Amino acid sequence: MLLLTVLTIVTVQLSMNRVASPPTGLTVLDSAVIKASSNAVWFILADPGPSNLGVTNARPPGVYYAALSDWTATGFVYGMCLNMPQPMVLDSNPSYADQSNGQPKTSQRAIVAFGGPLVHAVVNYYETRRLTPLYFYHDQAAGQYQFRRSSDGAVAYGLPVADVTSGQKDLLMVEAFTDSSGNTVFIGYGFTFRGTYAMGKLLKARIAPNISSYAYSWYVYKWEDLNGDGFQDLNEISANPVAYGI
Amino acid sequence: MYPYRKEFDVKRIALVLFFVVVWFPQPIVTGPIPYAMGSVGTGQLSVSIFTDSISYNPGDGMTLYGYVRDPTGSPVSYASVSIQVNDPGGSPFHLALVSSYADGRYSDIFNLPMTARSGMYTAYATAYRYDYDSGSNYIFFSVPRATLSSLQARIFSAAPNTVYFIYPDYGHIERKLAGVGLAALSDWSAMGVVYGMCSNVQSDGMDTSPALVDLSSGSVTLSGVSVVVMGGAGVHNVVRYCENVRIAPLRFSQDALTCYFMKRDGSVVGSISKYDAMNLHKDMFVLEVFADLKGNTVLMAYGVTWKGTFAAGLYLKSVIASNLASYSRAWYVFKWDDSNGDGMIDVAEISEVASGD
Repeated sequence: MLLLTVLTIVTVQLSMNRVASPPTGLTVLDSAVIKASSNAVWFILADPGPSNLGVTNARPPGVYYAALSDWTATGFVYGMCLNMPQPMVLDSNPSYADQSNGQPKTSQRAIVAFGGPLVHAVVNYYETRRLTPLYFYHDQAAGQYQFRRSSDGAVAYGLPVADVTSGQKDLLMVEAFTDSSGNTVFIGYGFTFRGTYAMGKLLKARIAPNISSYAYSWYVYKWEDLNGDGFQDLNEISANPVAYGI
Repeated sequence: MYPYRKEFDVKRIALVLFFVVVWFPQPIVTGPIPYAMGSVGTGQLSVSIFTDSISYNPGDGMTLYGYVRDPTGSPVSYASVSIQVNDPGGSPFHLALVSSYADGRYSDIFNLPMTARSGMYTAYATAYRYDYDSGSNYIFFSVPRATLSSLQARIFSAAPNTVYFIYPDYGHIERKLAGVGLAALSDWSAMGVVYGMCSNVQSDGMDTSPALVDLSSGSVTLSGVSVVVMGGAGVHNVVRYCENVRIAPLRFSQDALTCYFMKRDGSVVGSISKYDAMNLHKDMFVLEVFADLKGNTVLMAYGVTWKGTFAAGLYLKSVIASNLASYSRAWYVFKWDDSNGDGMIDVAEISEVASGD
């Protein structure tokens, strides 16, 4: 009876997207994206707004227009795909995402969505429902931007806001998980465009060549502008993740 | 069209040398000439010089041509044009003396020797006529042929850290060349795609980095590597340099209403109205491969707006890369037309406009 009750609760929670599926290691990027067959991966870009796009699209509540800088990180992964074509679409395209909340309109597919929850409707959808391993949090009391764990709300890693806004430091995060529709979702971004770009480069230059060793679901790295040139050099990204987990 | 075809042999060289050394008392030069010869003078001639390709293989036939004009821009006929081509070491290997026609045009056709070494060659032209001061000009071309199909070996499969991705800086305006402004980060998007296509980890940096770029000229400081630059001459130091010194096969130009892509001789190979481009539903972009003066292979791409630049990366990855061997020209011009009106660049909305060498 107890078992039945537990199963019922879990089933209900799963249907409500309250319980994450079993952890998905970043390793699956190789099979689910890089080596995926044609038209198997949706690369979903954040809408850059009418001044950039020439078209005005509505945004889900709490989601703003993106800077185009976030697209570069997506390019790194798109460029790695062995089989073309792969759809590259906007998060504001109603054929691909529910425009009321950002939920992708697909199942059993790989999704790449790079950009923070404030500008990317799909990322916003997953994070606000705590379906991602990590979520962005601005801890005003602590004066920090943080990545927190969805499982328990604990701080995975944070940086003082002043460090981030100075342009000298950033955190970058990449994570993989499976949503309730069976989609394998890859999300990555930094607190600023610097971190998002660095994340893309890190994926290409350091993670992808050793992808089999990235078995955890999420990784956080730190970038610090050691030479003061404003550019995210690979050797300025922490050699090891500053935090990681399942 | 041409009265004769010159062959590279000792007799002809001797004859040409006679004219050059005796008739026109001037030194054979190993660098840019602009030397002038005294005359009674009704002003100075201007002479242009172009090649029919940006690069050649040993043994290829090539045409040098240009126009002789007077100070008012009118064609000058019957001007003598001495031509000298120096190899990468600065040694002359081809000399010729031709005359301009009624329209001011001159030309010289010859074959590169089968032993032509790899590197950058310089072709000089000096125009003379008794009633003008002489005028000179020069142009570069390279051996061997540079083609888009060479990207596989030069960039995509290149050994680690032999390819340099040079982004246009969005800050440090003080390190930009005159006429070059700050970039938008949108220009970086296509670079990510191309970097992602590389089999190995490569190097990168910004166009304001003294380690990568001579900030007084915009030239790349490296030699013997491959360089990827994306973004127009208005935002990218290296692109500006390559177009200014005419080592890039194409250059961007514009007037009040229209943007143009032109070959080195000024002939237009693609154009788009500014109205269309600024409305962000049409664009035009170039993809070109060439050698620079330091033996680097340069992949350059950009559109009129960020959309064209982004489209260049997408098209290179989605269409060209899978059929790379068939892209045997040095430059291509494509247009993007947002046929479904969604503002997003779909690969199916891109078509080729022109190509050449």
